[in-house]
Amino acid sequence: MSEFAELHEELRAVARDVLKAPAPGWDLFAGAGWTGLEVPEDLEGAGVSFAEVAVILREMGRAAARTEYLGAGVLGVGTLLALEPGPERDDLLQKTATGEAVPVAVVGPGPGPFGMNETRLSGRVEFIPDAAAASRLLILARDTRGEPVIVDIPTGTAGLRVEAQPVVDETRRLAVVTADGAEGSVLRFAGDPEAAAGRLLDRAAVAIACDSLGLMEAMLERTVAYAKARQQFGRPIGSFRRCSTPAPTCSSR
Amino acid sequence: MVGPENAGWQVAQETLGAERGLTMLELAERLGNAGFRWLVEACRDAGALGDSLVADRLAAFETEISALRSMTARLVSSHHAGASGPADTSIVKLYYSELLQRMTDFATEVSGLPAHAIRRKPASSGWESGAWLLDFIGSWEWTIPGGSSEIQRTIIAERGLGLPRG
Repeated sequence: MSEFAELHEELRAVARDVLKAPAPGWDLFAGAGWTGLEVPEDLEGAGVSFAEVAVILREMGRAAARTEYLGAGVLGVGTLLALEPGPERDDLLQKTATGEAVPVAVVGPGPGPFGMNETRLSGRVEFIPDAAAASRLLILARDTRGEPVIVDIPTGTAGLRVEAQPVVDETRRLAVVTADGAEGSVLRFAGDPEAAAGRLLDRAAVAIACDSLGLMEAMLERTVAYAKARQQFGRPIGSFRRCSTPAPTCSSR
Repeated sequence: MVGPENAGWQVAQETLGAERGLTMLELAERLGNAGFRWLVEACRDAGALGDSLVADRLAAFETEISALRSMTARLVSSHHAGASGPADTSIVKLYYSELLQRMTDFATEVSGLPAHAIRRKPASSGWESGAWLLDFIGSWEWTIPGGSSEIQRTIIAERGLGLPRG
């Protein structure tokens, strides 16, 4: 097994254990070092890559964990890392690693829904993961020249409203984020802003895919275990081909 | 005891057959009228009617609904005439339940995230209420109980087509 594969196996085993806690949440993850995985070491993070975060996400999917890790730990940190280095960004990264801050990225379908009038932000977007648990929001928006930027706004700022948006899946905490002339500080992306905004959307998609993978693996395992244990007509139901066929299809996908 | 001893399967098939005929007629009409109309509306609301793939699926569903309604009408009249085939109710139950599942699945997909925000169905609603995700979840109450789709296929194969027992 390669060095990385071994490392990931270890991380996976630890993650599976940590997620057995009754109500795994931000403080627990900060203590385990997960909120700062991608944060540079000189800012109290572990300085590792998304590949390691992906291991955690897969385990969270497997556990159907109800946490704000996606919005803040994955998308928030990813957003901060995509910005031009600076004191505000670095301070936030450090506070995220220690667990003091919960910066949730509002990436939505892209920067389209939010626009700026000088320093005031306006717009509305639905189904944002974990916004209600945030200490501050990092909202992807277009500035007055139409360039994608990040607007950093603490929760509770006048003109900013976050309303919980419950969905059928009770393990997800989504919200509607509305800004109506809310004041925030504008942070610029490093490099090409359109490309950076696009990469944030890609990050969100891959993160959901990792979560979904963990979920499907857990469901396949439980289904196979049940098919082996449940008996009907004097034999395990898995021995009836009609019961066992869907499992290999699921497995090969 | 209803019917002769050890003839429970035949008695159950007879009563299920009678019940199934009229029940299926109503369900087919509900799915084919309001159900299909709401599905088209969901596609319109999602701005998807202009998509050729969506239009193709809707045309396919309309065709399948026509087949379902014709099947259920025939089921009732042939049962009344005492001329039902041994697998008729299985064919209709299988066809209806899987069509219901495919339609509610498609409606959920077309509706996107907003469908996930609807967490209650109206108390009086049927299997197609327009709360598509809940309708899709509910459709498994048709494909599993009352003889699962797998069992229905076995009945059709053995009693309908006379294929050897597996």
